[in-house]
Amino acid sequence: MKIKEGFILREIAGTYIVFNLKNTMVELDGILSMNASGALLWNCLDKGCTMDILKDALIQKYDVSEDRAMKDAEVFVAKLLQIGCIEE
Amino acid sequence: MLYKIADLLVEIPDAGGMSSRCREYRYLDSGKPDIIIDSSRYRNHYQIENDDNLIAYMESARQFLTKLIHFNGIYLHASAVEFDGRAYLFSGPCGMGKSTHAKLWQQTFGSAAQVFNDDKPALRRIDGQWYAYGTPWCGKDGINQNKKVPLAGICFLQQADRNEIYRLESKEAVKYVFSQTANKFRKIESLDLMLKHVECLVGEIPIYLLENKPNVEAALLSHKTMCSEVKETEI
Repeated sequence: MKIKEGFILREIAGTYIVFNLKNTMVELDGILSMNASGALLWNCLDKGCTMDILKDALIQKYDVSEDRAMKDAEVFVAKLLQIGCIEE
Repeated sequence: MLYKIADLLVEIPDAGGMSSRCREYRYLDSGKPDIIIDSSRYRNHYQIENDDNLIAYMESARQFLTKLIHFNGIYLHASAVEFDGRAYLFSGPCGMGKSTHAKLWQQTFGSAAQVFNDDKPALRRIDGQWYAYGTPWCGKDGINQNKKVPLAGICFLQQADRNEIYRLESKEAVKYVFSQTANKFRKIESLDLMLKHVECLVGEIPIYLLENKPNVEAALLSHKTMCSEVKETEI
C-alpha cells in the first residue's frame, strides 16, 4: 500500500494535516488531521509498506500489544481508503 | 489600471466591469505593481454561463488572493466588521450566517459597528500586527469599504438551537481556517508558505467557534466574548 501522489502531510500548530495538491481544499469535514502516531504510519505508507510493517512500527514506538497495534493500523488505513488517498 | 489594495499596488485590467468595481481603490500616482492580474488567464471554472463580469470578478479575486501569500497574507471567506477600531471576522461556509451575524452587530450596536467587507477580506501581517483589509471582492451586496483595521478576532459560525461560544485551540483552529481559505496550489512551496501564515495567525489571533441561533443574543454573546479578550490583552 502506498499514499497516492499529490497527497502530503504537514505538521502545523501541534497537529498533522493532509493536503491534496491536485484539488482545492475540501469542506471542514473532509479535512483529515492526525496526531503523532498517525503521522508515523503515514510516513511508512509514503514510502510504500504492508500492514505488518505498520503494526511493527506502532509496537516499536508505543509498546502496545500485537492485537492493539494491528487494530489501530487497520482503522487508520480504512480511514485513508475512505478519503481516497491510498492505493493498494 | 493601478489600484492600492491591502497596502499593495495591483494592476487589474478593466475587462469585465472591474474598473467600476474597484473604483474606491484607484491609485493615481505611478508605481511598480506588486501584483499584476492577467485577464488572458481568466477561465470559467465555475459553471457560469454568459457572465463575463462574474468570471472577471472570480478570476481576478483568485489571482490576487493566491498571490497574497507572497506578501505575508492570506484571505478568509468571511464578513468583516470594524468595532472600536478593531476588526472582527465572522467566517464559515456559504449559508452559515456570516453576513447575518455581521449585520446583527450593526443592528445591535448601530454605527459603532461597520461591516467593511462581506466576502473575502485580505489579512496581512505587517510589523508584527495582523490587519484585515477591505477588498473589491466583497460579495453580491457590494458592502465594500477600503479600510485597513487591526485584527482582533475571528469567529467561525455554526447553526444551532442555542447560543454558545468556545475559544478554539490552535490545532482545531487551523482546520477551520483552512476550510475557509480554500485555494489550489500547484507548488508545494506555495502551500508551505500559506501554512506558515496560517500557523502564525492562529498563534497570534484569538479564534472562536460560535454555535448560534441568528438572533440578537448571539451577537451580544460574540461581541462580549471577543471584545473583552481585546480589553484583557491591552491591560
